[in-house]
Amino acid sequence: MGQGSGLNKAIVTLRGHIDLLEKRFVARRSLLEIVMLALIIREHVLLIGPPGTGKSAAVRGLAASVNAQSFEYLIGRFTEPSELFGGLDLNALKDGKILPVTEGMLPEAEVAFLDEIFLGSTAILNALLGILNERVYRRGQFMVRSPLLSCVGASNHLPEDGLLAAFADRFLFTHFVDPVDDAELQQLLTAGWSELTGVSGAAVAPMPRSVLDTLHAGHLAIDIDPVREAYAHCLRKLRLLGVVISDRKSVQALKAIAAAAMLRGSQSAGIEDLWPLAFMVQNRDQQHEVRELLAEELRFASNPVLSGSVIAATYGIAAHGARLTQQGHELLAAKPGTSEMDQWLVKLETHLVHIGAAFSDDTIPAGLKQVKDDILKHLAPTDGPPAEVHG
Amino acid sequence: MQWRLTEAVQTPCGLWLEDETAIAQVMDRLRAKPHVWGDIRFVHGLSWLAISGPVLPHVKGARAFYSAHEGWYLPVGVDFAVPEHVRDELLSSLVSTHAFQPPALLLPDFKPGQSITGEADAYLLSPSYLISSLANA
Repeated sequence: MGQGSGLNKAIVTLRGHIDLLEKRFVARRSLLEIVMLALIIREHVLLIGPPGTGKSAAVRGLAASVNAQSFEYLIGRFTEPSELFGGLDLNALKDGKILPVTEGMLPEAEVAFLDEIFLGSTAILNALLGILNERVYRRGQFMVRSPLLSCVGASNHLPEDGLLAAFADRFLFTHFVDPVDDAELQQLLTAGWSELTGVSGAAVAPMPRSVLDTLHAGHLAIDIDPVREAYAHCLRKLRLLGVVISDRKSVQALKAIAAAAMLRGSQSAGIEDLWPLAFMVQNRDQQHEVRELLAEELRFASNPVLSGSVIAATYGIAAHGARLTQQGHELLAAKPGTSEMDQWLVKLETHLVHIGAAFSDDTIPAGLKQVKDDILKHLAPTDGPPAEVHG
Repeated sequence: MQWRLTEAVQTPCGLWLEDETAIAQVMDRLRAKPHVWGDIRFVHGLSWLAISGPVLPHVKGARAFYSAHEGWYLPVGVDFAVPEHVRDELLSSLVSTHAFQPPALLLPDFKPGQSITGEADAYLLSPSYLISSLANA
């Protein structure tokens, strides 16, 4: 179905932008996409994962690349509200007025990144609630409207305390961040070294703010009627599993589904767009279970722009096959000169192991079978069958 | 502790094999090219071999395994059937009951039609040696 040319252009720009960011932040495509989706629909994201997994760097890089006013803070147990929301104007105080200086602080930020968010005091979290929910910062009689598009909170783990869990529920998306896979370690080290030595030219040119505005307006025009019943069916299935998704979130999730449809190039939401539901679940084990429980409904999921998130939300054997196919093509295309030929052949052979671990000859998808055959041709000695030890 | 069959979407980090002819062939092949296979670690049991490393040889009949939990390896296509937050405790209990220390590869035994099992064989992956150390020997 057709879309306005402005909207189409914005979608193409966004896709190119995420592709560029992905090169800089290895194995973080899904994280980048979910934060970008949150910016479009003006919702908030929780990133949960161990220290050192690049959560802060990825969010900082993304915030710097969207031409938006950003604010970042590492919250500690003793962080004062003024460190986030601005101290009091002393001159105004002399006149008996409470007037915070919010310039450059959280109340004026469009993108906020709050590390260790659950360590915030009650005063901080209460003030944050106003900004997250109503986009308003209040202090006594003072009130200012916040231009916040999205707040990204990070923590090593989810809170067990009931009150904090209620606060966490204000974040529509929860993305669990794990250390980079062994398979992507080398890519991480290469990108990391380029970054350390400053030879990568890694800074991604800012995306015009108008792109986000166009996409925001675009997602509100999507027809969600065609998917309403299927979505309600998914929610009912989740309740049977004991997965709690609050009514508030169930409604807000429609925005994510609409944006997914828009970025898929459609004017109406379909069963392909239900995958954001997986990121509404604030429990790692349950996110895993949801993928399996909704396997039937999510098997149609697809999105050319948010491809990493679709894989993360639905990661099943089909997505795994697609990933192995892509990696195989990249590997085959990187054939080196004679001096590095042995190392390349060993990488091909390792890829063959990965393919064999997932697929038998009966189950391998056609595209991946072609990759496998091409690899075997390269591994075959010129005068005999392919290198392989038979057990 | 229980294990369940799952989709084979995990990235292998090692191979386990128990055919003696295949073991001998693999070791010969790896030892012959230490400049490419040298970083592979191996553990040779009585009638089995486990190898792990950044690169892996294509060995027909070998079982690929992956790192499922720190120090614990499972075959690709198998996962723990217990919630993540109790895994450490259950694995500690497994270790104290059977008196061994990880790193270990667990090979759960699924009977036909079974998708969950509480039975598994454990293979200790320590001490392990580098292929490059064989070439230097």
